[in-house]
Amino acid sequence: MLRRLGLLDFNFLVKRVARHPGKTEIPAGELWLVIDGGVKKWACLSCPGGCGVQISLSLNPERRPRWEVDQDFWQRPTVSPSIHQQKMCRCHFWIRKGMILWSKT
Amino acid sequence: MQTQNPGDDSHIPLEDVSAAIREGRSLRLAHLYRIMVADEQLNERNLDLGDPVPTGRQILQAAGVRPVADYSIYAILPSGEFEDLRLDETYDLRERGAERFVIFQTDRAFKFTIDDRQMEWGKPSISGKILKTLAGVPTDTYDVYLEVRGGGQDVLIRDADLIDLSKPGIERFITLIRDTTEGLAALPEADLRYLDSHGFAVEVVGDGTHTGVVLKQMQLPQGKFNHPAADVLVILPPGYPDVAPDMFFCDPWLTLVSAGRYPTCADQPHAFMGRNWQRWSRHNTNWRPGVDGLHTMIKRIEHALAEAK
Repeated sequence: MLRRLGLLDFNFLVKRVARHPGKTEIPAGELWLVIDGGVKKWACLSCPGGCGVQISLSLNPERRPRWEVDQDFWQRPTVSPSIHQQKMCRCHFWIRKGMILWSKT
Repeated sequence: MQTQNPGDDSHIPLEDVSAAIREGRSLRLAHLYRIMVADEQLNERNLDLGDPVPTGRQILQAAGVRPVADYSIYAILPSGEFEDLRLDETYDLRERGAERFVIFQTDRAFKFTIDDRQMEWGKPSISGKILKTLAGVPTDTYDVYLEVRGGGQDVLIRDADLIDLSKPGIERFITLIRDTTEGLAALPEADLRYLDSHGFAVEVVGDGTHTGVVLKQMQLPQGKFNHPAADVLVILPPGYPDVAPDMFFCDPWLTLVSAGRYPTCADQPHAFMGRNWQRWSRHNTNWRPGVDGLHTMIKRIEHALAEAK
């Protein structure tokens, strides 16, 4: 709604789910945050670099690689650090306040 | 099959098969050979056998299960695969590279899902490698996780890890391709805020080993160098920001307008990411872990450029 009014700009909005989507396709524009029992486990999205493969980012602080996801009032996610696809389309990007910022490498 | 002579001094008392495998050597002649045997709950215990080429029946008897015919025994190979041992089949401990065995009663089925496909497995334990094989994904490029419900991280199951399917809550496995990494630029948040708020145009580059931060077209002291601006590279060492970056690098190469030469200790080339950088050999011995970051490094660079002679 806000987006249609041109007030809110984003490439991704957070959708909370309790279970990992497995091989379920995630619609473009959504970042599924898997939270179960109060534990943030995964951030899942379809790769925005063109290959479309599902990316599952581990939010487990005990393991590498790992990421952190925060969201603002509008459910726009900020993911850190950046996300680097090593196979498929090899894209490298940041998600900050719901926006994709492409890295040149 | 028992051929050793207990009085023969060439035999050591006990050979630990797992130690031999770990050390990559063949088994020594011994009076006893120690293997590891797990039960259905995957409780492991040592078992000492007098025969380095036991049959399945011999191992079951040594493990004390009765009647032997109601049980199955599998060798767990280093790859995580199970190898079925028949009761009267001999198994040469000296050749196989397996020192772990699992014993369980047959005629049971365990249900679970992998990638939301129903699976049934006739044994209570299963390895990560078998899970991946059942899921039909390559074992070397995929990871398999056990979903943990109700508060707990999903558990990564490595190829040779064994999961007890008879435990409650062991129901759903997911496989994920292992192709995403943290960007080479795992820059600390403090650095990002600093770079953002001070208007630095930054490119983060990496050659797989080193991560570099390129400050794009950094403004140089006016009139001092043969260029008004240059790209400045900082290479982040492993362990940054607890470990200090050392030197910095400029491209294009800078000469002092006043002297017509390179500044002191800035005349060596350094190749990084296909560019030939001018190495500015300026060292930092006062790095404060937890306090210093790119902001400190940039201040040092600005100082070094201003003071260059």
